[in-house]
Amino acid sequence: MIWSRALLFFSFALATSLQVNAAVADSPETNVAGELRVAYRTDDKPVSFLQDGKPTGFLIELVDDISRRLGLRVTYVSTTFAAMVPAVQNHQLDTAAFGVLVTPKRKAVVDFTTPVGYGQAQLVSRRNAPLAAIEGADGKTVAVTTASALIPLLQKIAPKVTIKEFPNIASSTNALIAAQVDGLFTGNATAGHLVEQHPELTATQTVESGINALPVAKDRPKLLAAMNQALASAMKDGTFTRLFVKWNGSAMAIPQRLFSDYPGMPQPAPDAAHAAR
Amino acid sequence: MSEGFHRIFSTFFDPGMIVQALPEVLTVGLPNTLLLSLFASAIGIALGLLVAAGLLSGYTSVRLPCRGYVDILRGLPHILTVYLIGQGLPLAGLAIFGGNTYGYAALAIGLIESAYFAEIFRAGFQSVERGQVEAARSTGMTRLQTMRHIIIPQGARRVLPPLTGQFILVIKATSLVYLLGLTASQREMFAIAQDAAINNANLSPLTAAGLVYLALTIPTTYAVNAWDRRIRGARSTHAVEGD
Repeated sequence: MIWSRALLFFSFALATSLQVNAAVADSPETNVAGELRVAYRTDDKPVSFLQDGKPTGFLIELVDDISRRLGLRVTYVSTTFAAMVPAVQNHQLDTAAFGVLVTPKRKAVVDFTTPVGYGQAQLVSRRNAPLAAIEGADGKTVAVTTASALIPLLQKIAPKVTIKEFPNIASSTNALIAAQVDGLFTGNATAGHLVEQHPELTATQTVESGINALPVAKDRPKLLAAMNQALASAMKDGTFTRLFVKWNGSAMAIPQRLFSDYPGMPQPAPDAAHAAR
Repeated sequence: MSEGFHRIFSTFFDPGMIVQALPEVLTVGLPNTLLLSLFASAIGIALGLLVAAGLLSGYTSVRLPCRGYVDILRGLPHILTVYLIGQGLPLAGLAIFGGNTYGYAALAIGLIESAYFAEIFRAGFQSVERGQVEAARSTGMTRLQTMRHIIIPQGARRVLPPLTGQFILVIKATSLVYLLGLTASQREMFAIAQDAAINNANLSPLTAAGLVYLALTIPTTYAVNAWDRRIRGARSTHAVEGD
């Protein structure tokens, strides 16, 4: 009896081990076999941030889901926005759990998955000195994160605005609160969170910025294809919708273009936002 | 092998990228780096002199706070002090430089460097021979007069080489100003090179900035060493002649 139980346990352990090995063998090529090394930001709430010592946020949970579908364990490495694209290009990291705008310059050095969003940037300013629109803010100074694709966008729509680059959202928010700058230009999810966290701030104009996607090194086509497939599954089975509602609440709607990109993607339930919160 | 070499070469030493980055590094970055270094050093030297005088004071109530100041500022990482002062002062309502990033950066780096300058001055002043100090006091000079007419003129000459060496460290520390936010025209050499490296996903612009930093720091280091040797040589000659 004991022997038969031991044999059963051994067979189960062997089968599990073989399954894990098979999963690793089938996994797409990554920088470290069986592992997806992902850049994340510690300060970009609610998209990618650190809470209780653990990376969390909308895109973190989406990347968790993708790596589960790919049979890869995930390791998050905190990086600045500026260091992320070179790190993916140079195989230090496999991808990023950031809202990365797809631009021609970035496309020249890395590939991108299918969209995970359509970026909308928002202008945040102080309630006691509000900036209604970026176009009328000539001579004002606006904070933007270093290396953000919002810099050329801002230069294009408001060439007379002075751009001040900061290494992260935390330092640009401090500068805005301390009146060192007149406004802050960032993604609308981050802008919404900042306004919620700092009642003295207000978010005004929203500007369409472009496609958001996850970067992958150009010489990893299998990883890119596998991530696209996992992303399509997450869109279709409602995982993306659930995570979007969980992290963005009812204040933000899923961009309509995503429903066209991923036919069959479910709409959020009308009361889902309240249930999630 | 050649592919690996080519990859290393193109990552760090792409000539096109270096040539492309150099004009902005030299025309915008270099003047800003030097301007910030001079401001920070001026603050550091002025405060360092005061603190050094405090370190040499006979009063414990003056000496101890000065010792604490030096220990704290030398013990903290530069990046932490720059962030605390540069972002902290305006946040705390002490916007003494308005919206001028350079004011806060110069103050932060100046405060850090004042601790190092203070130790250099203290060592310089203490290097003035005890006999000279005693001779000055015996002629009826007060402690302050002895400091002003005997210790400072000699001590200051002796500390010039280490002060210049410390200035080289100030030049390098100015790269931390990027933490406080910079407009395009305010960027110093590192910030310009960093932007170019990010936009081109290639590290060669940083190599370009590194070359300019080296062109500033290496000749200065050798000049300081030669200067130091000359002063030490002159002092030992005087000592021999005195004997």
